[in-house]
Amino acid sequence: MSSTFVQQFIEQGGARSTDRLPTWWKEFRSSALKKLETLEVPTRKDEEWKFLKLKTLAKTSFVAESDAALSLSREEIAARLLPESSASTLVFLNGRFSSELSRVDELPEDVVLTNWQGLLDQDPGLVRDYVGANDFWKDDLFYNLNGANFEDGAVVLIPRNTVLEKPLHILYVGSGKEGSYASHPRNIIVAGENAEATVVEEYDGRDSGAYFHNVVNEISVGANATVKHFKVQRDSTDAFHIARNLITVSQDACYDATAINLGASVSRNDSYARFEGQNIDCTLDGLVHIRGSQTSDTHTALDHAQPNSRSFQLHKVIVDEGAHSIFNGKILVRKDAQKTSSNQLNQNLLLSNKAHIDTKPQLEILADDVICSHGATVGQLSEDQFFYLMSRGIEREHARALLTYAFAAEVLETITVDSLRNALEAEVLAATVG
Amino acid sequence: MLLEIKDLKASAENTPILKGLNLSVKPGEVHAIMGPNGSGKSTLAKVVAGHPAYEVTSGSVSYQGEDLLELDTDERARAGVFLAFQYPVEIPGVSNASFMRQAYNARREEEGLDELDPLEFDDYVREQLKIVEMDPAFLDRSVNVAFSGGEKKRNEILQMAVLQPKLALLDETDSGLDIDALRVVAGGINSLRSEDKGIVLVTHYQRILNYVEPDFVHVMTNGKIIKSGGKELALELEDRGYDWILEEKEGAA
Ligand SMILES: Nc1ncnc2c1ncn2[C@@H]1O[C@H](COP(=O)(O)OP(=O)(O)O)[C@@H](O)[C@H]1O
Ligand SMILES: [Mg+2]
Repeated sequence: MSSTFVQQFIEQGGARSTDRLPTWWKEFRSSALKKLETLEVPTRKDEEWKFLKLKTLAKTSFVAESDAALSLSREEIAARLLPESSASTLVFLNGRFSSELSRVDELPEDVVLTNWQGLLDQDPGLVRDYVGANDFWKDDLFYNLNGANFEDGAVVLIPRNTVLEKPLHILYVGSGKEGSYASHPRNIIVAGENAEATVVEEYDGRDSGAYFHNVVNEISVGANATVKHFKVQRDSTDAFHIARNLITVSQDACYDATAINLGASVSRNDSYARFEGQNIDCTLDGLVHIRGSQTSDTHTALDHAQPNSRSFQLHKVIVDEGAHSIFNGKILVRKDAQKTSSNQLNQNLLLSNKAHIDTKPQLEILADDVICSHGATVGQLSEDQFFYLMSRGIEREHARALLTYAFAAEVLETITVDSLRNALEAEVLAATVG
Repeated sequence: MLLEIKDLKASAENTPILKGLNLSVKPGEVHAIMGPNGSGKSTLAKVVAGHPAYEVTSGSVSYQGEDLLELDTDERARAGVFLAFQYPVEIPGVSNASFMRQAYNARREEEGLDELDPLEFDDYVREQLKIVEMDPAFLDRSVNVAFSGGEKKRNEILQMAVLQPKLALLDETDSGLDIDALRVVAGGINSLRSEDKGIVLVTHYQRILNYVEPDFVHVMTNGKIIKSGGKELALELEDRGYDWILEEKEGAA
């Protein structure tokens, strides 16, 4: 018998309507429900969960998203909308799709940008091949909580040879003020052969009160396709955010992701990229900037199964006050993956002596002809730099913000959506001014 | 008096470095401070600029009649004190232009003037660039990152030209420069020279004094100024080294 934490989601999942669901979805849900009966909240004895404390999450009881409906006007979310995506934005409020706030217009022919409930009106069979295809987390509690409970999320299907000029924006706004809800967004992003797209996935919290975003992303990048994926997590500091990003990349394709984690009380952002072909470029960059008693954990795995591909990772962390950051980055180069080139760097900046860092970059190399490097650094702002800036008339607080921002800049610069990058740059600067 | 240092004693990590130093600089004057390595020249410059590693244990430093030691590093800078570093610091991720603009605007704000926006500042800084014969490309690069030794020194003089300090302390800005770069740097220093400004030039070599003519030359050893004179003293030091002064000193004692 599983814990009350797991049990509440088994009950919620079992109570969700299956009326409109196709058979394969019903089966997917019931097998996840069955799996959940055997799963427990991970403890620190579990190697993958050694440093992240899940106690407060496990003690919290959550209602389904339908019992905490949130309603917001366009004005109230205006600050978060991206001008670049004025005709390609999906908005979810407390996990439920808002057709009033979403805008989908003028997309090229055959592009699908919709939510799951919208897809049921069209052809749910379109995504059947992608759901559960990459089963890396098949024994993971949170992956199965999502499988048993997901009702909505974004569905992005870009047909072969289609280039999307404008970024797609998937915006989840969360608030605990209508009740402590748990939502299990599942986002499907599929780029066909030669397709190109930029996707901004954003979680934005407001008000106080706990809620739980338990996300699964299933991303498939077709041959010679290019997907840029920018994730921004600024859930409220009472919230929990757990995400599993499953990425499958085909030959000659390029997947570049940057994950910005600023919010949530406890957050976990894990990515697993499987290389299913040669000549692939894959980047998993990240920036974590947390303070107070926030904890943020990032686990990534780059799985090179075939020769001649490249991966790159720059993961930067800024921890202030009593915050705690964890990073575990694995590069796996399988026996056949000769001529793999992989470069991973984790840099941590401690802004307070109460802040805490755990970092573990890992190489697992079974091929012999590869170029792989990895490393981690932990440092503080340098007194020499402070003195230099202050000797030019810049106040200490301002110097601190400038130096912190400078540390983050390299990651923020990877974001090619101008309005988003500018907003984040301003935010990082503002967050460091005491 | 622009700067008046009386019986200054300072230590780092409880080790005394400055051991009773006196120096007075009037507006319009250029003072050269020479002395062997380790005599405390950089320490003097950093103490005046307010480096936190040094503790002033006695004595006083007044600037335009006010107690300079009461001010934080940034307040001193905004009041017009400038230190050209012997070893300029690299700041990855901060562009040279935005760094100088923020420094310049901090100074302007202090003086009750409007801030310059990036475009206005760009016009202003490009004028100053000509003084140090620097390529505008240096504006977009991170502060001092991957600059050669000579480029770092020019960049210090550029910052000085931008900020127009009332009191400039130049710590071995001439060291490690070839003759062309030395001329450029000296030109930058001379262009700051004016009746209301004071310059303290810390140097190891007499060479720069051929280009920047000092009003006074001081010899510093072991944390004190032990001899002062006119510019001819520098030539004598060049010929005879420092030992004769030390001997003279001991003979007198
Ligand atoms: N921050 C410091 N901590 C400890 N010792 C220092 C520090 N700064 C300077 N010193 C010591 O003080 C002495 C004078 O150094 P410095 O002022 O750099 O001399 P100069 O510039 O004349 O070569 C040296 O012996 C040096 O090692
Ligand atoms: Mg020195």
